[in-house]
This record gives sequence, structure tokens and C-alpha cells, in this order.
Amino acid sequence: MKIILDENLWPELATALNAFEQRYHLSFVHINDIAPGAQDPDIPDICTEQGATAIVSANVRDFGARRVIFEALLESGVSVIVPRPSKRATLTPEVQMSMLIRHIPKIAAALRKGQGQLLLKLTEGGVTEISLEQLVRETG
Amino acid sequence: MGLIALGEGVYTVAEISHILQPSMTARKVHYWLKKGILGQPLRPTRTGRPTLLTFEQLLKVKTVQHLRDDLHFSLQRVTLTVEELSSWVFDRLFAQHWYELHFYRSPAGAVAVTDGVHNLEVGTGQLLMPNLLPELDAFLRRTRDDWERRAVDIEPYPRLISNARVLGGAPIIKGTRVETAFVAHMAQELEPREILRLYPYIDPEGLSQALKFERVA
Repeated sequence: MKIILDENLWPELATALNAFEQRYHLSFVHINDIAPGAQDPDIPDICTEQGATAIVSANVRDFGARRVIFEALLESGVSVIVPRPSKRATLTPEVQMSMLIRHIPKIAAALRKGQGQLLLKLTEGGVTEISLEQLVRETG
Repeated sequence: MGLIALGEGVYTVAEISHILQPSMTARKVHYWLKKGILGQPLRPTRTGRPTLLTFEQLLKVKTVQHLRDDLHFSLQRVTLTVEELSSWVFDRLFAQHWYELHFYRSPAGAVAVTDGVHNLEVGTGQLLMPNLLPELDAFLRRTRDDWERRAVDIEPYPRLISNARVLGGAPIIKGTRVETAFVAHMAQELEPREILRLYPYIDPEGLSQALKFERVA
């Protein structure tokens, strides 16, 4: 199973996370290494070409608008993982890495277990399947 | 089926006023929405859910602001005239076939606009600077180009853009999928030189402009 990291995420993150590929049977690829500056409509095809089932998309503002994009991605067959650190935390590369490394097993399990496309909220505490409505309510 | 297909772009009112800063405010956008100048939003305001607008509506906001500022409508005339003029211009600006729109001064001294076949005369109630009309023609041509390429440059930042096909139109550094809001968020903890070292595909000028646009620099 493979996951694509979008460009807001630290480009070295994929290399770091891939150290655990054998253990969790989950690999990562950064979109800048395969399709830098890709357009949204290309994402489903990029996922298909890469054999990826999900994309990690880190946004910090206007979730009302981004929600519509997540919805369109889910409809096109791509699961979306959204890191949501606590209010005090900044999504620096260290925080991105710690959140993803800590919860790789849960992400892998959720994607394996899930039927159809999933929207997963990733926090310091864990991984939760969430609806688009809940995401907007929580983030404003 | 969701609200939009991938690549169509979607904006909150706050995002539109941010992209069109400093002259635009959320209040103005809501006012024009209420007046019907911008058409129906993708999703109207409801408690806890932001109003969502399309890329075309972003361009409409920019156009209304430009017409209103450049033609210096008197306060008494501004609402009705801008509504009438905007509606006439939008029917042509965002049509399948491009109408070459041309502003001119009518014999009666009013501002008029023509698509080559039909004309509309509008009374601004103010004296006009003669050089404004060719500038308005050029503005409408640029807006049409933006509509066709589905992207609008963020002024006065040449390295920034809102591209409806990338992250739904969120302001980004050109040529990347990196949001200006995200680098501003990271800049709370990281020095700009650290961001540049960690993200080699972000160029120094792009980062500098993103931080200025987000009022971090």
C-alpha cells in the first residue's frame, strides 16, 4: 500500500517514513518527486499510476473551501489523510514526522480495514475516520 | 455528486478578500452577493458553514471593484449603475465566445461600453479621466485571460497565484502546490532560511512574497 504526500509536507518525510516500509507494508512518496506542481484533476491519475490509495494533505486555513476539494478527491477514488495538530502546535517538519511515524500502524490498519474512500483525521493522539461535515465543524 | 469537480476552484468570502487585498473586504463581497451582482453562491451562508464561491465569482468581485473604482460613480448612482453595468459586462466576459469589449464616451458625455453590436450607456454622475477607458478595456481583456486559464495573479506579488486547478484556488507560490498560508504557519516556528533549506522547491523570492502577503514578514 502506498500513500502520496502533498507539497505542503516536508519533502524528506517520505524517505524517513519509508524506513518502516517492511514493518508496516506501507510506503510513501512525495508528490514533488513524481509530479511537482501537479494540478488537482491530475491527482486521481497520479494515485492510480503510483498504486497509491491515499494522499496526505496538510492545510491550515479555509477548511470550508478545502473540504470541497477533499470531497471531490474522495469521489474520484482517493482517500484523504488530514493532519490536525493541537491548537498550540505548528506543523513543522518535526511535528509532521512525529505525527505520521507514531501512527503509521493505525493509518495502515484503517486503510486496510476501510471500505471505499476514507477521510482520516490524524492528530497527536491517533487516527480517526471522520466525515467532511465533522472536519469543517471542528476546523471552521 | 459533490459541490464541484476537481479543478473548478472554490473560495470562502474571507479567502476572496484576502486574495484581492488590500481594497477588498468580506463585507463588500457579502453586500454584492446580497445585491445579486455576483449571482448565487455555490453554497449560501448557514450557521457554522462558510459561504462558498466559484472562481468566476472571484473574477466578478475583482471586476466590480475595478469598475466601481475606475469609473468613480457618484454615491447616488453607484448601486444601480454598477449592477446594470456588471450584469451586462459579465454576460459577455464569461461567455463561451469572447466579445471584444470597448469602453468609450458617448456623445452625451456618458460612459458607454460596446461589444461591437450592442451598446450600454451608463451615467456615472462624475467627470471621467480620458485615459481610464482604454485601461478598462485592457483590464477586461486580462480578466478574460484569467477566466480562460482559470488563474488569477495576486497583486503586487508576481510569484504568487490563485489557480483554480491547484488546491482549489488557495493562494500558492507559483509552480508549486505550496500554500502561502502554510509557509506563514511554519514561519511561526522556523526562520525563512530554514524553510528554504527544508523545502528546496520553494524559491527565496516566492517565500518572501508569501510571507509579506500573509503579513508575517
